[in-house]
Amino acid sequence: MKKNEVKVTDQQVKTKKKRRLGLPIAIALLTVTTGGLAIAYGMSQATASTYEIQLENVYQKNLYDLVESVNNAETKLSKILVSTDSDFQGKTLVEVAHNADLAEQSLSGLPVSRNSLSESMRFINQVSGYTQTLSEKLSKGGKLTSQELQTLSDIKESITYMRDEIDKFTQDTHGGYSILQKSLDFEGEQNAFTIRISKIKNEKLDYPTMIYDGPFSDSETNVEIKGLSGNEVSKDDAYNEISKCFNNISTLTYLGEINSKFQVYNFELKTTNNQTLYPQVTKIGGNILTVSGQSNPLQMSTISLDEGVRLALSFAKENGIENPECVWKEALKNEGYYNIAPKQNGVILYPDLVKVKIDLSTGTVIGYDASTYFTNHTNRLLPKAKISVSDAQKVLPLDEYIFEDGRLVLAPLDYSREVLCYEFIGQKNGSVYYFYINALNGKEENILKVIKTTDGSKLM
Amino acid sequence: MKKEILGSMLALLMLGGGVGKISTYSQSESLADSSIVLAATVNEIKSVQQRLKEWGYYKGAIDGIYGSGTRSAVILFQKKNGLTPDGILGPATARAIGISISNSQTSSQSGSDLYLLAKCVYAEARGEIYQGQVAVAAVILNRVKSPDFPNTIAGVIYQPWAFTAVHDGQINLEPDATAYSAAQDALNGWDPTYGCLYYYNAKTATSQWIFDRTTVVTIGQHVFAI
Repeated sequence: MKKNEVKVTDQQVKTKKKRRLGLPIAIALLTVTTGGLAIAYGMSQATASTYEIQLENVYQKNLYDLVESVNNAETKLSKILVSTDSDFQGKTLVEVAHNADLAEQSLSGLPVSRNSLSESMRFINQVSGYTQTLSEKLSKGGKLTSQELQTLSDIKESITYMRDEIDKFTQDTHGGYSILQKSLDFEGEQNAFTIRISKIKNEKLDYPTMIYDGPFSDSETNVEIKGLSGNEVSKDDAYNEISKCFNNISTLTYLGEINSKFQVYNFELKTTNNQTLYPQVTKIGGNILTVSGQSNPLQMSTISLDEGVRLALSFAKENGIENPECVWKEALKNEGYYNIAPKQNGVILYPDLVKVKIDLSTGTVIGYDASTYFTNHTNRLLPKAKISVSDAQKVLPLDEYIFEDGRLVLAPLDYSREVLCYEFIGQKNGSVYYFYINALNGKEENILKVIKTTDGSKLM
Repeated sequence: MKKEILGSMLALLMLGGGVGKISTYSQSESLADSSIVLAATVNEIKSVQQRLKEWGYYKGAIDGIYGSGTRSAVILFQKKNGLTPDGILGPATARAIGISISNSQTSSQSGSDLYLLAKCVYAEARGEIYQGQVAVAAVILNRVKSPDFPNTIAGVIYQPWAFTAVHDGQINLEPDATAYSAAQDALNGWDPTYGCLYYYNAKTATSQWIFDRTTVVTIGQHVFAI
């Protein structure tokens, strides 16, 4: 019995020991788990807080940059207004344009909801475009008119007002104002940050109107459509027009009207090859204005890029493009891209460019854009060239580049100007440049470089 | 890219590989492989195959097709010659083989604008009809040109609160071929909305503000407005 008792006692002791051990282990485990979670939580909090700080810093930087750019623009405009020297004015106007660009960048990097600052954004962009346009005028020997000086003075007044309001705002942000927090704090559709900073434009401030032809100008956005003529056609006429131009229609469905800069009937076209295209026909005149669609990228080309030229030209001709000529072609996978320009008395009209995209596996026109053509095309009174092609050629760096023969083109320059030029294509070490020499005075008007990108070439 | 430059660029932008070059990928190979020899002509590939055959790296036909056989031979050649064995017939490899690839890609710029635009189209409008995807890309480019918005494609796309799919991170999904194609068409000047600056999803839009804009057209789920 005693032995047994001892045994029992041993077991009891062991059990007791186990019990005694069990609790601390559980506690230890709990502690470790809780501790681990706490550390993990703490770390994720720390990471989140790092992210918050980083983002807040970016916003603060944008705000302070905005203040600096606006201050600089204001000071420089004051100087222009007291200066009588065109060179100084021109140089300083370039700086104002630069300050306005910087201000625009800073402003667009701030968390403003619903584009609530669009009026201020427009003002800043137009200040940039306006001052740039004036500086170009001065660099060509022009002078600022009293009207222009008045506009600059109005701009300066608006900027002063804006600067004062931004100053007030930055005063408010002293003492731990978080742009990030306020940007997440929505009152209806606008966040608290937007509501506060929108005060830089209030009913007391009227931004001045800037009348000019240049970047961001109103004339740039409200373009008049010159190329459409004829009667308004019905959607049935539009339907027939599309049926005439495509010979592989399986179904043609009317989708509705689009009333924007152009008024068009919108269709969905399924081809017998099971491709889906979206042709649009103008109400005035009943011309196909655009077609959008894509090829099947897995199909092999069956026609060459050159064969596609004929298809592109005949499609353009059928749609009322006068004397079309292919001025650029390029293939990407199984799609051929063609730029087509009309000719008037042998002169290539670049302002009236039409773009065509051909599916090189089926020969179908899967893309077409004549909106530029119909915006600009009109029967122009073209001037006669005053200098010969060989005289124009003398302007070129002939010893450095290999040139092809020049040809007469109408080139769109500086937003509103169309200039009769000789176009020469020059090559040097594999780089290709397009030179434009004014055919009336022999001046070099523009140079474009062909830039190869991983997604094709562009002219810049 | 500043607005004024964009204007002239859009006027003449063309997309595609080198003029007159032949795409050398076959249907069975992935499209990504086409970049391997984007600029090489059939004749150039034939001379690569000829050399590699003479040196014992390549056993296939001299057919000018950059298939898997040629690719493995190039990788083998690269390994033996201390070049990065990536199977890409770049300038260094071409030089080592002893041929010159015309129009090598060394001077090319990246098409980063296209990629960014395609990402935004995919994030915002995947599943929409093609015209609807082109329209979304066109709205972004119309904003770049408009004085009311930032002046670069990145500026417009990343403007805080401007696009839902940028705000919630879907912008980081990889775009598909359709989104690319739509972005390309828009960069090339196509705009099925003729100047719209806004769009919203008719089913999910909650903002009263957006309904005050002048509606131009509804394409798929999206209402486009000026």
